[in-house]
Formats: sequence, structure tokens, C-alpha cells
Amino acid sequence: MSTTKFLFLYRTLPEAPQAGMALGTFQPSPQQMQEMWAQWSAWKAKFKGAILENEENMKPGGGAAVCKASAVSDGPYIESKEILGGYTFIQADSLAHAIEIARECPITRQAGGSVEVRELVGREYFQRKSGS
Amino acid sequence: MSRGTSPEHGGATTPAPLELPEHYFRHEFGRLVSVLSRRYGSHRIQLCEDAAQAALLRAVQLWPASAQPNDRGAWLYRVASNHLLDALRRDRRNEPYPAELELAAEASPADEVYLESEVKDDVLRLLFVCADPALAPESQLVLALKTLCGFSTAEIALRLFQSEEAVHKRLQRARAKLAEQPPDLDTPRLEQLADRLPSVLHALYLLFNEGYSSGQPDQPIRRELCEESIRLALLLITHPVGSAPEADALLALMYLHAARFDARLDVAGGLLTLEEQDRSRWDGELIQLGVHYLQRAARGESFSRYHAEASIAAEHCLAPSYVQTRWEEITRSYELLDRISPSPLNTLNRAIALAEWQGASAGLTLLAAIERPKWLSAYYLWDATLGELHRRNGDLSHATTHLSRALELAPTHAERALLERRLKACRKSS
Repeated sequence: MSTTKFLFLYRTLPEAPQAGMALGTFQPSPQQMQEMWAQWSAWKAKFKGAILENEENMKPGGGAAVCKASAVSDGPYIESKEILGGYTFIQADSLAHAIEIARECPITRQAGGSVEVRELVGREYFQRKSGS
Repeated sequence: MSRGTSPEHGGATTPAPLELPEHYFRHEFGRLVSVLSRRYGSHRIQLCEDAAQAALLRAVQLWPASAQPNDRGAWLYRVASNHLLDALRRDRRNEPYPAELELAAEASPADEVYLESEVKDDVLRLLFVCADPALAPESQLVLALKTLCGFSTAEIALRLFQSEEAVHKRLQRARAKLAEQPPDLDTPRLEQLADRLPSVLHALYLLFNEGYSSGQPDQPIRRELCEESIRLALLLITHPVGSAPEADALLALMYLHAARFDARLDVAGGLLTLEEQDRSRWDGELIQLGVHYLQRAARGESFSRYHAEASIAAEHCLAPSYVQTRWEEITRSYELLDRISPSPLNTLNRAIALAEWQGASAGLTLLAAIERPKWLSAYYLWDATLGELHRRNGDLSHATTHLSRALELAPTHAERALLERRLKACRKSS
């Protein structure tokens, strides 16, 4: 069976723009984070083989900018309702399979957390079929 | 229950496995706040807490999605540090941005050090900062639970039977107190705080008691308080600043109590008296540790309340049965304790031991000689003890009166169940 590559984009609520501010956002205690960690571990174990590990990921909390014709702003943190927290590549049989994996991802259980699933294709996808 | 020094965190060079040690996030929170507050000042404790929180949240969001860092501690420190410096830059208008922070901000990643030996010192330093005599003991406790143990306000409230709002207010006041200190005095070295040791020991003692003397020992969350106090006490005694016989005695006391943790409960989660407990369920390993530290505590001349209390606990732990307990020794230790730290509660316990040694009437005589203070008028154990001693003395009418009153005052279900059993026995024989 052929497999397809997918990109999972993990989105979460942004951090408080100002340290010390009361947050209306997702603020788990360290103890709750430990539970989240256990959920992630279980998820990764369940879909071992499908979830590919990337060597690098986004630099936490920094090195970001949003560029528009009008202005370059200091990262997406101030204005966005959600921010991109990280990404993973997934090897799945089909879009349905990828969605099944995504639906079980622990981030979907966080307030404001989501996974965007995008199917990836190479240039061969657009090539005319020859013969037949 | 913590039995020895656990690896603080693996600064391993091989990729870390997905499994993390128990309480990893809570303890890493404490380490981060400790390191950051040494570096950026205890007056910025709130900023340090926020930075630690942000870094851990990033970790739980990023680590599972990619190859994990080889050195998690360093990763977290770097992220937290960045977060804190960003916040300081944003706050520039409100707070002068010191040149040394500018330098820190520009430092290359390789300059950022996160040395295990330093972390340990920093954690102890923060413990001494929390034990600031200018803070009420309750505030010291709450501050330590938040910053060092990594509990959230809600989790602290649950563990201390306080409202979330009360804990929040206490924390705010404690942080405000720390922020008052002039910045040049702000980052005293651990050695400069060494004279706070008695206050540190007292805070750890309170922390342990919060977990241990609860009427709901079946709740694992209470036990966590005991585990945390043992963890911090272990850290303390392995450092020159905490190397005092009193500290050893305190640790001995904790182990000797902890050894009996499970045996205090019946199958329904009710509390069992010392007499009713199955001694084979006492944890021999913890008793050994307790005795070991009690022996270490015997060096030198000092004899503290912790020595007295640990000696009493050791007598109980080493007695083959309730009847064979050396009640005379225990009575004498309570006498010493009452002299070092005079309290009607110590007298009450002394009376209980004396009653076992010389009979119920001796205990009653001792209690009759002192006046029950007003602040103990609603203390159920006072009535429970009087009731029990009267019952043994054959005075069932007084016994029933006191046991009924104790039943009204008892704070938890487990304690009420115990009293009901005794009251029933009393009525049966009358």
C-alpha cells in the first residue's frame, strides 16, 4: 500500500503578551503538564512509525516576524488568537488515516489547541500519466 | 516516599527517552525559578515564575513533536531565560534595564551555563529566601510550595485546605515583600543566608506536618507534601549550610513518621491508632533511614525539639508491640520537648505516654494540673484524650461526655469514625 506524507501544524493559544499578566489562556500547572506529557507519549507510541521525528523545530518564543507590505511586526504573538507551536511530518495511508491520528493528538484536548492536517505531494503528482 | 538522593536531572549527552521522571515538570519548575532568581534577583520572583512556566509549556508542546534535546535542563533554562529577558525589554519603560542584563541578553548560547552543582545551590538558596523571617510562616510555606515545589495556586489551596483566593493573596504579599528589598542586597549568596537555618528547618517541619497530620492521609496529594519536605531536607543536609545536628534530627523525624504512613489506615481509609496499627506494615527501610539520621543528629551538644520528637518516633518504630513500648523513655522525651518548646499540646502527649506508663489516673492528674488554653477549646484531640483516659479509669460518664464532645469537633470523617468506635465501646460497657 502506498503511503502519503502529511504535515501536522500544531496551534495553541498564545502566551500572555506581558509576563505576570493574569491569563485567560491555557495555563496548566507543571503537574498537569506532566499528565499532558504522558498523553503525548501514549499518542506517539500508538502511532509509532507514522509519526516522523524532525531534527529541528520552531525556536520557542522568539525569532519570529510577520512581514506585510505595510509593516514588519514582531512575531505573531500580540495580535493572533492562536499561534503555530510546532510541526511534524506524518506518514499515513490516506487522509482519513492522517485525520484519525490527528484527532487523537493530545493537543486537541487543550483549550484552544488544534492540529491542521495538510497533505504533501511532490512534483510527480502533477505529471501526466504516460501510456495506459 | 523519597529514600535517598534521586538524580536531579540527567544532563545526558545521548538523546533522552520519552519517559520523564516522576514530578519532572514540578521539580524542573523549582530548579528554573531557583536559577533564574539567583541570576535576575529574587525581587523579580514573579517574572522568574512566569518564565519557568512558559518554558515548560513550550517543552510539552515542542518536545513530543520533534527530536528531544540532549540536555533538557539546558534547553529549558535557555527558553526561560529568553522569555524573561523579552519581558524585561518590554518593561523597560517601567523598570530601568540594567546593563548587566543587556549583556546577559546578548550572551551567546554557549555562555549560558546550567551546571548541576550550581542548580543545587540555587535551589537551596531559594529555600533560604522563602524562609525570610519577615514573612509569616504560612507565607513562607506557600511561597516555597509555589516556587520550589512547582504547585499551582489551586493545587496549594487543595493541599493546605485553604481557599484559592487566600493562597493567591498570601503569595502576592510574599512576592511584594521580596520585591521591596533593595536590588543591591537582592542576590545574597547562600552562605550569607546561613543564619536563617532555624527558620528553614521550621518551614520544612511545617510542610511535613501539613502532609502528615492531616485527617485525610489516604489522599496521595497530602503525601506529596511529605515527599517534598523530605526531598528538600535531603538537599539541605548534604550542603555545608545545612550541616547541623538539628537538620539531621528533622530528617530522622520525617522518615520515622513516614515509615508509618500506610499502616495508619484501615481498608476503608479510616485512621488507626498506634495501638491498632499492624506493625508489620511499617516500612523497615524508612525506619532504618530514620534511625541512621537520628544517630548522626546525636553528634555535638545540641538537643532540639526535632531531636526530642525524632527520639519519640524512634521509640514507637522500634517497639515490638504497643504494650512493649518503652513508655517511660517516651514520657521523658515529651518532658524534654515540653521544656524546649513549651506547649499544652506537648503536655497532652506527655499525659498520654504517662498514662501508658503509670496508668490513666497519672495522665489525668497531669492534665488536671494545667489549664486548657482557649485556643485549644475546640481541639477535638484534647477531649478525645480525656474521654479515653476517663474510660480506662472506669469513669464512663465523664468518658462519654468528652468523647461526644470530641465527636462534634472532629474535623474529618476518618477521625469521627474512630471516635464513634470508642464511644460505642464505652456505651456497651456502661
